[in-house]
Amino acid sequence: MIDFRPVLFLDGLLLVVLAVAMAVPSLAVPIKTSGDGAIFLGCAAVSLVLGAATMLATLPSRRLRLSSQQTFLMVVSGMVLTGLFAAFPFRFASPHLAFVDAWFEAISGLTTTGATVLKDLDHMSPAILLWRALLNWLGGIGIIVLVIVLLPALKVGGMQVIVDDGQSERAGLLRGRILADGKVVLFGYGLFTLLTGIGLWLAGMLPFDAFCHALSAISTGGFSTSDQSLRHWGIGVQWVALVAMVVGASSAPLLVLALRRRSVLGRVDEQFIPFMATLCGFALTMIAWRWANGTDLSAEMVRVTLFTTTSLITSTGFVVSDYSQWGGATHVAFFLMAFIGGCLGSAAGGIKIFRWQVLAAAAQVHIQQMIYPHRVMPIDFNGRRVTDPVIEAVLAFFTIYILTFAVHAAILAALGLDLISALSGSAAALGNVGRGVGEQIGSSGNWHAIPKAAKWVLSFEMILGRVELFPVFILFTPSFWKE
Amino acid sequence: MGGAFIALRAAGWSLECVAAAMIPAMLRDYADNQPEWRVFALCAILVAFFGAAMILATRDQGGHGQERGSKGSYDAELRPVILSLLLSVTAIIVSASLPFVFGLSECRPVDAAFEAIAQVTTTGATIFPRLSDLTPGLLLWRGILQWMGGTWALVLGIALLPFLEVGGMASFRLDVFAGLEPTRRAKRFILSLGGLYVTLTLSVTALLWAAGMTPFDATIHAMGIVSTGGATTWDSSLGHYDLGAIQVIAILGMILAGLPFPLMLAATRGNFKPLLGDRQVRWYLGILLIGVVLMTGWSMRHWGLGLKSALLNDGVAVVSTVTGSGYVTQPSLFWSGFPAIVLLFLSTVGGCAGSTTGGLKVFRLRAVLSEIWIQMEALLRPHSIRASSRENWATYRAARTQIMGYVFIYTMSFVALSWGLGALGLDTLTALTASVSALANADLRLGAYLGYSGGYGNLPDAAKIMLAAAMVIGRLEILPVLVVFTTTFWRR
Repeated sequence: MIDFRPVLFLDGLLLVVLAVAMAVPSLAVPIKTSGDGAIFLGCAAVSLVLGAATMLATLPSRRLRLSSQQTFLMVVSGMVLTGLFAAFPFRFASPHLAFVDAWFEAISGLTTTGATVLKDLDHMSPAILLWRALLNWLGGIGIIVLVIVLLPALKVGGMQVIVDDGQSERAGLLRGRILADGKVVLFGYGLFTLLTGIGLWLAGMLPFDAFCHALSAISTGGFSTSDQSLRHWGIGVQWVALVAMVVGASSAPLLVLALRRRSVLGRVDEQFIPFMATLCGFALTMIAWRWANGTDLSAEMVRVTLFTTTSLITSTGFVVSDYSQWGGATHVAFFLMAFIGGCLGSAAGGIKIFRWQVLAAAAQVHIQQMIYPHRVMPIDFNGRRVTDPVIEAVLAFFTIYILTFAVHAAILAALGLDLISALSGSAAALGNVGRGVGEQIGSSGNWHAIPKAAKWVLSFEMILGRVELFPVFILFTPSFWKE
Repeated sequence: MGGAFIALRAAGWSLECVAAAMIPAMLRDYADNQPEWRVFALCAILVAFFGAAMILATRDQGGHGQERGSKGSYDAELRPVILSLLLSVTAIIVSASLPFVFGLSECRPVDAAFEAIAQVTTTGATIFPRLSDLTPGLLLWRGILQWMGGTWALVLGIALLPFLEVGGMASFRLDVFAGLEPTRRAKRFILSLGGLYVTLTLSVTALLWAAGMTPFDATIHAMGIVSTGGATTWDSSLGHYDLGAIQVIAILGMILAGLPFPLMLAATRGNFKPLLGDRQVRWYLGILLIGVVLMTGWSMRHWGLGLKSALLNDGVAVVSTVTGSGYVTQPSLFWSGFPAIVLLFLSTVGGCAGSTTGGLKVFRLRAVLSEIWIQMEALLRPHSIRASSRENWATYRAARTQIMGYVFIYTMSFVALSWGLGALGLDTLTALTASVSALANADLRLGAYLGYSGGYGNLPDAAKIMLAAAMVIGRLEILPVLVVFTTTFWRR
């Protein structure tokens, strides 16, 4: 039998953190003018009490150590519980969403997906807007900690390349590392957010909007404070947001960590150039295609195309233009972009650049071995050998990713979405992008109108994509629950 | 240059096969007093002449070259095999498209090549808007091309691809084909395989005839069913006939054509154990069952069909999609949403290795799923050592890696193709459908262009060329073509 106490203890901790964050939006509204501030405080109090009570009840007598089962369980239950509590303000504060919508919005925020069901954001209570941005930001931190501390140690999807092998082999995952590394990464993450906020403010946003967008840009979440998304603001703001998205999807937080622990630096940078190359390659192709198909080559067209490409590849989901009008090849490309993702170690979703590198190398090895079957062709990543288990894990991750996408697309279609929306919605949720092609989820769309059951499926898919699939699927294996 | 000689020789023999295959089509048109028979006669003579020239020119060298490729040395063997493969394919395509160019249909070369490639790869897509406008000879020619394409698919899947170790196919190597040297045992094996293929075709023909088709229609449909190409004589495909025995025969015939032929051969000798016990076969049947249940349920609920008509309609749709045949009983123009996605994915899966079907093949899907399972177990117990019943764990792992690598390459080919089609201005659904069905050698008809018979004719020429190339690449399982583009391949 798995010992649930450490799991519950950490879940309680997450709830306490969430409660602290929940208190922040109440500062954004004067308590007198609307009830939202009080409701936020109330929700915060509930989750604080419940979280603290859980922590006290399960207080570990010894130093906290998690087995792999417990860690997987913690990751998934933490996601679900925080999502549940984060949904309360959407349910009880001014939007008064139905429960499924509140849950969808919360999960979409926490997984940094950025798909929204809220309408009329421009007149929304500032507390709600701030809460959405904060959810993005917290989700971003959560995923970075997950990706650089927990998952590598668990060897999920080839993640182990990110840490020194010696360290990942050691038991007692949470000791020391999570605190030491976590603090540094948090600092870097906060620093980039602050810089983005200042940049957006200088570019002409109001301080509140600048703050919210900084939170959701660095975390590649993509929640905005306007229905128009970034169309609402000027060119300067869009350029600042573009840079922020690229920083958010590159392994920038890891680079900060690397400044302190030199060892990691070497292993992060090899993703960055392919990442930028992918970004620029896609953007240039799209620009060329639009030009060849009758759009004038203007500074605006280049900016808009570049921005849209960046927004979708980094899995952010800001829009500056109604890209669903572009047609043809851009549609197929926007659908495909949801699969790419950012660098390993960032808050971006998708399959991620590192895995694409390994996949391409493995494919090349396969082709070469047809000619020389006994040829040994090592794959290197940042000067280190990629071991066979990593390659196998990456290949398996890719196939399970595609299968998950396919199965969910079929389910969504069965629930009444049209074919394009089902395919693109499945890809956008799994990749934590939050935008795709199709009527409801395209550039001007809003996920409000899709059927209820589909919202449950999509939010499940967002969680799947966010925790890199395996931690959820593994709960469904019989041997997980066996001793 | 032993490789080039072997390649030319193989291409020469392929041309002779094509020439021989033109004779039935010629006779049919002659009997019907169609002037088209002259075209077939001329083409046959031309093709036979060039084929003979190629064989004669390489007569002395052929055997010599083969001797030089010492046994077991892959470096010496791979290049001639792959070159022969590609050269033969080219020769077959060029010669097979001749009757379409010079005949009454007067196709442009692009269209003719597309039509020929679509038949030879058993894809079955057509550019003709109305099949009824074609002469009986041309209809038969399409059927014969598919039927021949089926035999080539069998040779590829049973002998060549396992030899080349394409995407984990090494596990399907048969002892019979230990080396490239044609032993007597190997020849006997190939003959009995051919016998099985012919018997299957003849039985399906007889059954279809008995079920009410004319002998001519029965022959062409049987060729299309057994080769999973989907040759038909009607624009409405199997929808031309009332629902009943004909559809049932077609479904059963296609299911059989998607089974591994070597195992079926054993079954005809009374040894049913390998066939029924084979995991791939069980999965294949399971996938078919799931597909039929899902689709039947959907059409009963959303279209209000009765159980019988739903079962027959969707049975034909699912089985012909999985096996990549392309028969339909109802216009698929209106299929969207759930049925469309299910069919798209089923078509990617394809049938069993060692059959005439295309696609990823069931064994790869199975391997991928079980690999995911194994890895999840490993995540939970990182230090456990799996006690394996398999003799050679390392070989097994290598095969798994190859299979997953193949899935990746397959997916990327699909992505490149669909993006390319999108860039040519096709709508998203058409681009996705056309890419899926070209790579899997299926004739799936969804989307604005392909929703009706002959829809491929309206595609831009560039799209036709891309799709035709994808059909060939898909039939050869991608890697033999990709490998030619590496520098290592050409290095001496």
